Amino acid sequence: MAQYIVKRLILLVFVVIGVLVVTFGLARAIPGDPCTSMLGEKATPEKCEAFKQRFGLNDSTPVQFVRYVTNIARGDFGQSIRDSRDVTDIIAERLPLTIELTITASFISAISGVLLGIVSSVRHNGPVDVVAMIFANVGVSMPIFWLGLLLAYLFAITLGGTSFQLPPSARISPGADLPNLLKLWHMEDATGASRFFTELLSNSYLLNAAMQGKWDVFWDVIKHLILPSVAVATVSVSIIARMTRGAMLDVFTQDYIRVARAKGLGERLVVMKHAFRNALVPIVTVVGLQFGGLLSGAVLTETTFSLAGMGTKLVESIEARDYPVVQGIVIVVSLLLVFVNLLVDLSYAYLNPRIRVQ
Amino acid sequence: MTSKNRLFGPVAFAAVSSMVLAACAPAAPPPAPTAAPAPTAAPAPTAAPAPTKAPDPTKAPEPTKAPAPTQAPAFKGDKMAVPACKDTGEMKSIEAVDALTVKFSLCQPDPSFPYKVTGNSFGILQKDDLAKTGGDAKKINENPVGTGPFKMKEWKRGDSINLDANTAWWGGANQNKGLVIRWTKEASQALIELRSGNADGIEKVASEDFDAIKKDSKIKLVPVEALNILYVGLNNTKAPFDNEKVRQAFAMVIDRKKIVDDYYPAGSQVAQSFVPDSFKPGFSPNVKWYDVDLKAAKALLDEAKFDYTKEVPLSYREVVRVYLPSPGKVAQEIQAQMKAIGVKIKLEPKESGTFLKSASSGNETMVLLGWGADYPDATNFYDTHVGPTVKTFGKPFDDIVAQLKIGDTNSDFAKRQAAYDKTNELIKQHVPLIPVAHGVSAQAFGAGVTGAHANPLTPNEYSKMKGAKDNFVYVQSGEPISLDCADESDGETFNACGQIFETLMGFKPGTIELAPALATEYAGNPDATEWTFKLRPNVKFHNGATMDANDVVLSFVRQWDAANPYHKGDTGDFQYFNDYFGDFLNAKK
Repeated sequence: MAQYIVKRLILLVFVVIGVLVVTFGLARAIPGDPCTSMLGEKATPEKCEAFKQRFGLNDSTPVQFVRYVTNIARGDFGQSIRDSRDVTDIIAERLPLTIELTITASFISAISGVLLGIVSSVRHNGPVDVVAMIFANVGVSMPIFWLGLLLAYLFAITLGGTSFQLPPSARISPGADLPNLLKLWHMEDATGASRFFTELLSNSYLLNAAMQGKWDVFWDVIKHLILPSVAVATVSVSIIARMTRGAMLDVFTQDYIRVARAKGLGERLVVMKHAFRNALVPIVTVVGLQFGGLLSGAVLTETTFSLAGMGTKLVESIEARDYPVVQGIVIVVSLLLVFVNLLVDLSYAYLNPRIRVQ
Repeated sequence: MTSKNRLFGPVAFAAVSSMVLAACAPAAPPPAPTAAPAPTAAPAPTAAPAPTKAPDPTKAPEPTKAPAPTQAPAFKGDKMAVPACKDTGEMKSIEAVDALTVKFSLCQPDPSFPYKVTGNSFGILQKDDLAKTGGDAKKINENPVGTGPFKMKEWKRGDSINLDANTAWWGGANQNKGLVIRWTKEASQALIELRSGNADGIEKVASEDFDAIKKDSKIKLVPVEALNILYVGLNNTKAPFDNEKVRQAFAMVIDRKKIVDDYYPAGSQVAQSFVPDSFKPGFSPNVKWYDVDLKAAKALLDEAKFDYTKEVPLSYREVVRVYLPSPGKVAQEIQAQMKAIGVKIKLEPKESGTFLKSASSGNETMVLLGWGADYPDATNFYDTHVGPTVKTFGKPFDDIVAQLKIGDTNSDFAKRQAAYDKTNELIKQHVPLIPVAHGVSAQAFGAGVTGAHANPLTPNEYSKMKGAKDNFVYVQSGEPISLDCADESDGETFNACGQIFETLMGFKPGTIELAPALATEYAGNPDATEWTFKLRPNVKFHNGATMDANDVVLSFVRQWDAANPYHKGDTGDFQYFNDYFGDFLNAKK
């Protein structure tokens, strides 16, 4: 197992290099230049020249690439062209929301999708199955931004004034008191890893509120997360439900299920212990793959719900041709995906001893 | 530049400021108020730029009651001056005449100076706080110290800026306990925020939502005065526009009213001249643009031996602006209108940056472009388009340039207006561009919000608005870049800065009429080369310090003098200062 993990980690290096090359190349292939994006339409050619000089954008692309990779190797993701701030600071501010959103959505999609799939397979071809599959088909074909706007309209305006009202945007209510941990712990001047991780913790509003014992703020953050999480999870729920249903129906035809039933085992035991356990490998694969989908879905959801995550920052940075931020975000997201895929692979071995032996 | 400035540090500042500023300061007690251009009297109408209704001195604190020099012996005014006006940009000197008087002397006349200092890039910072932050935007962002109606509580990056009411504000009671500025790029999302009651006001309203908002009793639309222009530019160095008759013929074909009626939100105007009609001086009510006359146009084209077989390229960019809400559709409309007399237009949509660069270099034949005002003075429109260095329309017209020079170097309203009347006649004659439309935009507020207004050029005054809750929530289009607005140039940043920092002059809410802010009055000399501002007394900064003229001097000098230790900011560009007043002092060449 250790050998397998090491092998995967070595492969990770090549994945990162690939991502670096592609991101770096694509970012520069987009028409337009950072100068007019940043200095505005009225920027003179002289100003643009000085601007490019300052950010090293006048150098040839290979020179810029070598400089960039060298800096990355030192843990320096560079400075944002738009904000004149370290990219690592920006990532520390933005990553927690995206992770909170993706994890919440993953839970929603995995639990609802699997339950829906199991119920559908057990009630195969019955009314429940038909309704669930209609929902799955509608869900998979619905654009996230549209669904997001609908949800926001429904829960913020139509149900406004009722106990079902939910906030249509932002992470926290205006005036909610959740101090930044850097300030709270008097670490404003901290640098390096301690600053990065404290910022990460501070911007994980759920963790931050829990650590400070501010449970009213914690609940407020949860309420703000509900609509975006549901919006981003809907497509995944549908996919996981269909996959679970298919895998379960497949397993139900196996001899060992027939044997289990013949032995007189209760239907719940047959479904959950014998069928579901064996159907889990393809389900886990889909859930793992969906994590990537949820991450990319978060880009749209964050924009729709005005959330300060990696997605909104990525869009902003692409529009501003803020290359260092685009590259930094893509690399972090790629690493996250690779890490989740590794976890999925490892879970196969746990779920199916035959894979472990191989 | 940034790292080098770090090397200077406070020691360098002490040395530089003591050697340069203090040495330049008057050795004798500050000059008596009478030495400055009549601060005690209201500026004579002929002395001040005519459009500016000089602030009513009866409303301003009595300048005559201002402490006489003998009452403030401790005050030592700072001054920064250049020995000679050569390669220095517009500024000649900035001087704290006394504790409450600042004088700007210029190397060249600038009648728009009072308008320029309304810009949020020229907010007044506190000198001790500048020393504390070293003029570094990163440190200013943490605790910006201004005089404005709100002070910093917390900037939740990516999410919101939270401000508390400044109870010591000179402008009276703040209507709110706090202000929360949020942002979203999506107009539809902002509208949901407003309708759900989560926000009290929103900046971005899609023009297609105007009608729906007007019908919704829970929210209201507040139009923003149209201070922009959409024009069709014709390059006189490219065929067929190297012939004036062709340019005039095109002006007679394009039906501007149809374009405004079909593609602009209600309230937008057909442009009668290049500047909006509220620009006084600048707008010429007696100069009417060409009426649509296809017959006359055809005759002119025939006279010019126009080649109908050749396509004329019309380049534009698919970027929505208030002055051009539907770029592609307007371009197609022009194409269709020109076809009516047999002229073939080839549409060439281009990437925004490439297009702007190409157009400003004079490489495009016919362009669909626009302009939004930075400050409400005619110079901001005419000089940037038909001035001597502009290449967009080919070779500049000498007679237009000559008239602009008169308008630029005079503070007399009548003389300026006469020059701009002539300019407009010449623009009509030469047709370097065809003015098409002034597009209207709007902001929206909750129906119950009192004092709601939408300022066309400067940030709204949220301290004068009141929503349903303690904190006023406003949703704008994007996150501010920093809170050191001296070194920023985008509206979203200015909207936040404008609540914390104040400028010498401002505008009356919702208008472009000059109003006192940190200065209670101003006066200019007849040739517009000296501008003196009388400051409001007893204004407190958020850190408790009292504002004086030296704060104003340093706030400008840190931008002007590239060697000043606080000339640091966010990127060190200080773009607006550079745009408005030319080169920096001690700039590295």
